[in-house]
Amino acid sequence: MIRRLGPALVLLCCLSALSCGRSGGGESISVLGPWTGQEEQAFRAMFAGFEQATGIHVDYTGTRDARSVLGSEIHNGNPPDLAVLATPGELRDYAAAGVLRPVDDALKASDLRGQYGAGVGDLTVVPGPTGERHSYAVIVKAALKSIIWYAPGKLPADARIRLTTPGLTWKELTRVASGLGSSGGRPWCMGVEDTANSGWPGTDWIEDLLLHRSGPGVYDQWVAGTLPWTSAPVRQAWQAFGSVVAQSGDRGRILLTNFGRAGTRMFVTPPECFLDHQGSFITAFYGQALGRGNASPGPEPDFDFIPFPSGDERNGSPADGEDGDGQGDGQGDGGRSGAGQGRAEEVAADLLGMFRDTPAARRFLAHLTTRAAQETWIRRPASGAISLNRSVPVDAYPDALSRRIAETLTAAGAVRFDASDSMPQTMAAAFDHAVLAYIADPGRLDALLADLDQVRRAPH
Amino acid sequence: MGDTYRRLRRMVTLTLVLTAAVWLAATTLLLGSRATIASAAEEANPALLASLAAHAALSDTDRAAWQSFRGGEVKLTGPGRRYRDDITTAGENLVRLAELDTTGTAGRQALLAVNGQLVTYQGLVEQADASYRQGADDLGYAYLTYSSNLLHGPGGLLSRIEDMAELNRRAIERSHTSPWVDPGTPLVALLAAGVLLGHLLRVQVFLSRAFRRTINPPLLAATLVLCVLAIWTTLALNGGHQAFRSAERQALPALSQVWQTQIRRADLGTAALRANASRVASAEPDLTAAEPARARLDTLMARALDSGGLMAGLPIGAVAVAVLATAGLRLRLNEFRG
Repeated sequence: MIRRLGPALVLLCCLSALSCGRSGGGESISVLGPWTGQEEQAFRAMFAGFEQATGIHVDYTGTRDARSVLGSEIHNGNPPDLAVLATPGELRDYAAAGVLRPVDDALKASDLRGQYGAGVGDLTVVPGPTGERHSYAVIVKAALKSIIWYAPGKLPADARIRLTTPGLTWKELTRVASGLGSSGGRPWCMGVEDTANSGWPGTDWIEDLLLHRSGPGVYDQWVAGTLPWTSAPVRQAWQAFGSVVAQSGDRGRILLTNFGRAGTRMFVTPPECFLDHQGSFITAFYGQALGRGNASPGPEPDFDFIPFPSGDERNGSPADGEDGDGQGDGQGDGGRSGAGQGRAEEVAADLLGMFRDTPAARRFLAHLTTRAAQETWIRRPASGAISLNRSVPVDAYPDALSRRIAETLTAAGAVRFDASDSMPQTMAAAFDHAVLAYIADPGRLDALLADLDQVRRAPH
Repeated sequence: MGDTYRRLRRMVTLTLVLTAAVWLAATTLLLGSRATIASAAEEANPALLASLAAHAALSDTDRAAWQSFRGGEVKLTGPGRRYRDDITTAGENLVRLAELDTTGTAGRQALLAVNGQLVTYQGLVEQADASYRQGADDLGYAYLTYSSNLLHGPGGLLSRIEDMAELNRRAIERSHTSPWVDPGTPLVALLAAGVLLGHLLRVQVFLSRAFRRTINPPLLAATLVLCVLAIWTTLALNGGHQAFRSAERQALPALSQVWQTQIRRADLGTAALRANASRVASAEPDLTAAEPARARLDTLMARALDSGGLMAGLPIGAVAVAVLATAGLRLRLNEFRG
């Protein structure tokens, strides 16, 4: 027994000594986030050097349910020092409620604009409890959403050439897709299942269609709730999405197919589908499906991407193949404010907000925005992560595919957050549901858009 | 006179010190083992069982919802009474888990996540219900599938509850390896009593030689009381430990097995209902099937915690040993004074 108690006593003494050493010697900050497994390792690598250099201990808790855990901790009056926010909508809600602390003092807004560019730097600027606008978060990493993936080896040669021809328009893309439909598989891979969040792959489609066909101005009005869902640009985006759904196979199967598995049907022989609209993070799913784990794509990649095409610049009308019903309100292309200023790109980003303003928390935030910290994550193979920091060189990415994704984003004339992430949470949930209902029964479009407008008009 | 007198005084002091040491050792062992057993009986075991009960209830919730939707009752009664009863049972067990709070920060966060997911799960079933009632059967089926995936999928509700059960299993494992319930622990009490016994025998021999008396009756009585006390302590500790080991290594796994069987039954029922669109009836798991196994566990844990009056017997016996032994020696000391 003494042999058993002995080590226990020694351990107790060591723990006591350690705890005394920590409480007396260094500061500590608590961070809550959704990253577990390899993502958690990547995040920990981001701050390993920070801990060594500053002596500040970062107590990171990773859980897939960080959102609900954060909500409960805030409700109990015991939030962590810093937490990853799932959406810009959450950022806005917490900032307006006064539970988030502004970070612009900690980071110097001018430095941020220098590193991120005015457009991206402003993505985290929202009104606080008094209505005054401040930056309330830093962007840890991002994913580019305006991407269409294909498997080069599985695509007929002529289709591949037409897809990769510069200046591809939506109209041309629909023609290529229609041609693919006659070669056996479905033109589009589509799956919208994601348990409680099902429907978002469809909202991404509609967002990209609206952003690229009608421009950032219209997109911004729609996100802000000033453009009706029944307006022509929004309706046309839905109809274009409807035409894609019609080319994607059985509607019941689309509803039940997981978003991560839908695109992997490109890689089977013969391919069951050819094109997959998904964000840059999908490469991790492809890698797993191809049995590659985290290995980088080889010199002859199994998958490649094209940027989401712009609308047909020549006439601005709905592209061929759509079942447009002409019931719009005539707003047409009125909001194409981004035209001529470079492409617009849609991104999703992981934001880190500060709930307790301490010197250690400020130093940690400042560290995460540095080029060195940002590079740590994106250098990891097949992470699919993109840095919005312009000082991060493109050659910091581990493979050619990641570098091209980063270049696409760097060259963007306008960058917009995922619209449904930016909308009030009630509106976003209604949007998800409407997508599912539309896929199940496209004949209900008018009723669904009217219902969405009712939610839009309700106070949030 | 001087040497013998001083030696007798030292013997009195040593007897009192050794008696106090025996009492202290036996009491510490008894309290330590009771605390370990009580912790398992009142915290770790109930927490594990609450997580298993919540798991079984939620598995059956899913089965009941599918049964109701497949059977067509949904259009009249929604997901059904069994579904609602199961949700209530699961909620009660989750509250019990929160009250027990045996797994620290990790367990608390898992519980927060589970509560959030449970609300989401109910929301998805409500969406399925609303869709079916509106005649949108495909959409209703999709929502019901999402709710089921939220329960059974990786990182889903049931895997979170299983994580909490695992944390509690580890806490129970730690109690198994606690030195307080080690089979060798009663030997420590026996060893302490043996030292005192040796001392009393040595005193008896000394007195018989120094004072030419065959036996010192009070000292003999103290020796007998000590022997009874040592045997009682050893038997009580051993009996408690054996009951604890039976409870933890047989009754608890048996009870867990009953819950696992019910969980598998519910999951098989759900799988059959998901796969078959026809109006099939699935076998309902029996959520009361665990009662006999639970009663056996409770009986064994109660036995493990029952020291048979030793908590009172130890101080009384120790005082008796001290008083009798001192009285025996004092008789000889008085002879010096006389």
